[in-house]
Amino acid sequence: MSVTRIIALSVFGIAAALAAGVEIAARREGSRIPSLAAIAGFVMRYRAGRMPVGRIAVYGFWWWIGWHFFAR
Amino acid sequence: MCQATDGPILQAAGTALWDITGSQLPARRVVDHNRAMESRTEYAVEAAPGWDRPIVTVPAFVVIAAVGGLFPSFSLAANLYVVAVGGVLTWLGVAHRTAKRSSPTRLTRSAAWWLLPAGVFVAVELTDFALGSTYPHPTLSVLVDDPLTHYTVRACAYLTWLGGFWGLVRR
Repeated sequence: MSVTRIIALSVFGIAAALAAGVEIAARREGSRIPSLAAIAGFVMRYRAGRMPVGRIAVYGFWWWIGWHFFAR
Repeated sequence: MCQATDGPILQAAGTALWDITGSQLPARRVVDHNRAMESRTEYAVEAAPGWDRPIVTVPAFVVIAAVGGLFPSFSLAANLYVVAVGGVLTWLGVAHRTAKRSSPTRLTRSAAWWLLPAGVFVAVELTDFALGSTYPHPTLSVLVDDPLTHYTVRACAYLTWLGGFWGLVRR
């Protein structure tokens, strides 16, 4: 395994650990940090007129994630 | 009718508050210290269909994931399956066919903490992509390609994706 691959794996791990840490902090009693789900919910509230732009964007992103990893 | 699903409190928009832990008794409003956001233990309730319960949805997702794990990448079946499943879930969410949890109307500055993991991830992803997304410089896609060739891993990943999608649909 090359050094660059190990570095890449480590940084991905750090990103995952940071995300987990922020999520745990968000779920603590009295925390002012919103959870990831709350942020997604906030984004999904955005509308342009009657069009739920935020909802469509978030669903579209998650749909693309599934397609990218399971179909492409 | 308020449909009990999960979590401690349901708040019907403009109507009554209901405890969804099973008692079906009117419940009090929960107040926590996160004043800039709506309480995350409250749920906005809309009329939920009878199937919108974990005892129905969880087995359904397990079956969907078990089937989805059978289709290899780049196959027509895999493409059609993801499009169909994602299409149904998107329709359920956009058409408000499920109970919805409440979402904050604004975010505090503390939300910026999420930029830290996001920034680290985007930095390594873009760097490795610019370097060709090869074995020595893998993007996330390249890293998970090999594990996802195994049925069990693929089915579990499918279930995780479905769970995430369901969480978004119910927001």
